[in-house]
Amino acid sequence: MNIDIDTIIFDVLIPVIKIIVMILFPMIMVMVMLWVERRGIAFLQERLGPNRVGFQGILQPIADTIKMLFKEDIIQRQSDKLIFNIAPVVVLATSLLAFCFIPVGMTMSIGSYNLTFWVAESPVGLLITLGISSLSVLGIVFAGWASNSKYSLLGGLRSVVQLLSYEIPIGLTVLTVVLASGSMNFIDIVNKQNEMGIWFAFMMPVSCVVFWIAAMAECNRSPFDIVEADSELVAGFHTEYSGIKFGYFFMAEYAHMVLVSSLMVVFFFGGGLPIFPNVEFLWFLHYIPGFVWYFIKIMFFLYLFVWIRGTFPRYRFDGLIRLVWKWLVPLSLLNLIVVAIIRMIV
Amino acid sequence: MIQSIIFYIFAALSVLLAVLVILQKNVMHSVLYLSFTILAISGVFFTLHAEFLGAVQILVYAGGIIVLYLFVIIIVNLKEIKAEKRNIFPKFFIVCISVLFLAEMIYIFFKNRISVPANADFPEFEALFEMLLSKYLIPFEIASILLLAVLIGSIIIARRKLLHDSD
Repeated sequence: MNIDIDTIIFDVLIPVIKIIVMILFPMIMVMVMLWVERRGIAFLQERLGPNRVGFQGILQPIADTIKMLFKEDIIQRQSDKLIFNIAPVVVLATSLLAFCFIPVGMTMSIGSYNLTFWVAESPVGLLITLGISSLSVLGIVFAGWASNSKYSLLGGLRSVVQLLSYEIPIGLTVLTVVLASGSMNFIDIVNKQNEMGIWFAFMMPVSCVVFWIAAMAECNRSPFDIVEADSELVAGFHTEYSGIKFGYFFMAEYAHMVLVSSLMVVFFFGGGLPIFPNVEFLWFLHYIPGFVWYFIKIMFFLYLFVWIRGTFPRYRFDGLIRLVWKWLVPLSLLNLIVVAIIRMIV
Repeated sequence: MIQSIIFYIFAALSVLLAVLVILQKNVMHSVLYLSFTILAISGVFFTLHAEFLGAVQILVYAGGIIVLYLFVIIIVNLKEIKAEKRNIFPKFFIVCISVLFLAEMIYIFFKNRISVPANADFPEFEALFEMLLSKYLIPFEIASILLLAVLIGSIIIARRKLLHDSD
């Protein structure tokens, strides 16, 4: 068996580095988002926010993380130990696993080697990603049940109702993207937007808006955060968690936000493509690498999360369910029919 | 080589977890292991290059059906499984079925010698869809009508009490 140096580098080393980067990327984004969110909310509410640790409070997330690591890890005597310990891992692992199909940039040629910015490519990558990201509800329900506390259980039950209902508009709007691009491969979806010379957001604005609203509800973010409504349920499903296990839920929530922003960018805003990819006049934009464009785009959507949180009050539970079943589901169904008819004609 | 190692890891995991599912006293632990079993089985599908089947496995079973199980368990407040006292005939029946199934599997294994299943040739999922919507259209539609009938029937059964109430 002869193993030359090229196979080791290209078939082992580079994939392993990619996997490590794709696991670290959401984690680092959690740190970034912690700062962006606290400063952003403070800015919207005309406060200062944390600005003491490091320049403009930039080291605050690191201080918070260290504090969280050293906190006491309390396990309820009444709780179901096995599930109580596994639930945070399930939530975080599914959030991180869903990143493996996301194209974080365009293919880059270095010499004769084509460096790709995704861990795996599959003709059904979209389906797998949606499936994996919908698994986090399992962890949330397990956490709510295992804590053996009223608030946690209520939060868990609410999350089932909310996440299952909001998965329907997500599925229906993603179908319109699949119809428009003719593929369930993320890379093909991005390339199709390059070919057509238009981002899908401008081709299918209804899908884009419905997807964004439903995806925000999937993340349990304000104004849809009834799962952990602070004023009713203390902290919802993670009331009884402390220390690093709470940190797992916290990281998972932010990783899910990054995931949703990435999906939004890939489906509707051209992934790693520059703005106006087909305009001759703006040729120089192609020299900026794809991952920079991707990063700029997801930062916009991550800021949008903060912006919306600082702007809208929380939905009441019945209003939330009414919104999805009476508005989003019929709207996305109608949208799907219209897109399908246009696709048939054109 | 690496692929078949990963295949065997997933296969062993799915069997181990499936055994754990039926050995639990606590219903919630069973559901936890069942969800892991489903993930392991989808891992088996992925290593066999049947990505569509793996995706559907996760999406339908782990994302949908397991959550329904959880919902029912929480609402009905099932805690522990008590051993049921069965008559001799049902007991005999249960044992027979499992023995038959095991015998069948051993027979197939020794007849066809399916030893290294990696890189099995699964039909492409596009071909699968085309077959569903052209050759097998009528069975497909009949199955969906059956599902609709089940849905309406369960709603009617659930609402019967409410319908007979005066308000």
